[in-house]
Amino acid sequence: MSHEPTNVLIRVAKARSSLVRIRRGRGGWAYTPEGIPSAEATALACLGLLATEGMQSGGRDGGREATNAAADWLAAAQNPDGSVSVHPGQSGPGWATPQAVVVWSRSGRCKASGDRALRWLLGQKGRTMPRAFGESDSHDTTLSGWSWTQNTHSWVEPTAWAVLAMSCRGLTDHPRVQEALQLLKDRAIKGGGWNYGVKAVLHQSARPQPAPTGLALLALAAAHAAGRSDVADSLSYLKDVLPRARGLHSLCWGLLGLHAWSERLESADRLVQESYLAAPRATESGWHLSQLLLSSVPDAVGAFGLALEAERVRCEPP
Amino acid sequence: MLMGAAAAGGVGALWAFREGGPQASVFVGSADSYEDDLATVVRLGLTELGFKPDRFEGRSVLLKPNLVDPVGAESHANTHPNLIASIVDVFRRWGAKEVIIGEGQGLSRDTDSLLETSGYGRLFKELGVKFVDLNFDDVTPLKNAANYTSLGRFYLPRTLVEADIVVSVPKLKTHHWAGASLSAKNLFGVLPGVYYGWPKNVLHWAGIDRSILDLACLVRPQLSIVDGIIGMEGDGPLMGAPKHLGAVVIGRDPFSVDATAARLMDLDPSRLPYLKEAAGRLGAVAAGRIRQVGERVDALRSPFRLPRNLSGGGTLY
Repeated sequence: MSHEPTNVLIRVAKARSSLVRIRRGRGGWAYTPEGIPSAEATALACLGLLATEGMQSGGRDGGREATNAAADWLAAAQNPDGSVSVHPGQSGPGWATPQAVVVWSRSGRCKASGDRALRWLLGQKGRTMPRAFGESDSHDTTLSGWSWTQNTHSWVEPTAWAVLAMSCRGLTDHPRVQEALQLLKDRAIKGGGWNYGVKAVLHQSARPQPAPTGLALLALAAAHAAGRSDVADSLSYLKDVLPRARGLHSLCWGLLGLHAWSERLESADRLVQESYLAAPRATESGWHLSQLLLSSVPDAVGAFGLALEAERVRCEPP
Repeated sequence: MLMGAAAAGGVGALWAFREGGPQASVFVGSADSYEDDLATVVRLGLTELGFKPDRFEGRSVLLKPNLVDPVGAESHANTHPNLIASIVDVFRRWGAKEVIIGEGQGLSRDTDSLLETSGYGRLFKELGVKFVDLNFDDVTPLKNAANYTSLGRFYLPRTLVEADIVVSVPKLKTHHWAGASLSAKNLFGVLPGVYYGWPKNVLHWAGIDRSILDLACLVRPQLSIVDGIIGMEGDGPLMGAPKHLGAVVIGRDPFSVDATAARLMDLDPSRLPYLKEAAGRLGAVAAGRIRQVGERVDALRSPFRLPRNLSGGGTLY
């Protein structure tokens, strides 16, 4: 039984209902009201619905059915090489593949698709290069994680998602995951936080961003790869910046990062509500609705295979 | 030298071709601040270049400004909202069916935050103008015709492909890899991040200068309007210092516009590899090939401090 305030329950119920409504007949969900379904928007919508399943008001609202159908749609559109394209069924990069893996794992569906996706994922490697002389304050370019597109450098978000996917499938000890975790830690910015993946530019510290910070924290938690003292600065950064954050994307992932480490922000509910209302046409956007759901409840980290405990996080096997 | 199909295959200049090489007209307007009557400057420039209202009447116009990760309330990294508002005003008065603003910022996925902190969100609401986050737009794959890079195709956003007129509205800035970030470099921001990443790393690996050329040849903005009222010098395009120049540069040929903007920065265009390649092949770059109207370049020219590593050094990821 949820103990969330009534307004959160109402917001979640409305968002769930909207998500189910806008998917009908489209396979998955899109970034924009007019757009074609995308793997990421679909995956996040599924995870949002799964995370808030216990908050359905009254009878079933069709969320599980929609999630199952969307998970099946992702599997049906999977490429022969195991990747899932940005817009499934069309050519394009496969960085959303780990998001599909997480959905299949958490929904308990399409295991064979998940296996194929993992094989593809393990075959992808971010491009490395020797460290340039005199750039010891920049990130370690010899570490490999995952990239946005093939044969390019590794970046925080694709790497963090790959770690989440592998963790959901019990592959935390895989050497690729271990290197990816090393990479994530290396890309942390002095003073706390992460951005897209550059910690210094021309010997000046880069600025962190809430969303990559939250995602990196989520990944480190999922893989048991850090202690609280390792992430204290980043948690402090989020608690400082999120009250001033304006975009739902930053809020969502920032809050998920905090929640993964059993931290809460008192003003979270108000901030989420305000940013959602400020986003144009959010009620028709799978991208916004899914992130509204994921940011509305601390328990949402369960959608990524994490369970909150007092001071530790435990990865639940699929 | 950068070789591509456009040069080797004799595709020829994309803009006005005259015997002896391309020629183009570029307007340089003067504006001391963003509180000046920028609509008049823009309208004057377009008129001097031979544009008439019927060119825009009934047509959809996509403006592509330079909007980057928020760097503060008075950001000199972004095209100023007042200039955008003025351009919107001119095109609307000239009967454009629709004026849309589109941008695919390269370093952050949170466009809502960017719009809020940059002042653009408020502006768009006041103007009633539609903004499209090109990073998440549906795409149309198009063959790379110029082939300066090995990228076989580009995925262009539907909003851009469907627009009747595309206008590049960059901020005039130095750039620590390309030398300067002007109209052509601004086109990196049309590419959706969902296909190119955050950052759009694949363009770096393909070669920044080559990518600039490929994109400029493919997108072919019909107009460029450079915000050089306050530009950026030093470690651009994000970490440089503001520098007042007081100029708005307008033209059809983005290479001519960029060459003129570079001269205003007291930067020899031939120091920018993409302009050196474009000269005489893709657009008019040499001063003798550009019909200069409006203010004289000499009257506004002011040396911009260049990035520390313009001559090389530092890692391109």
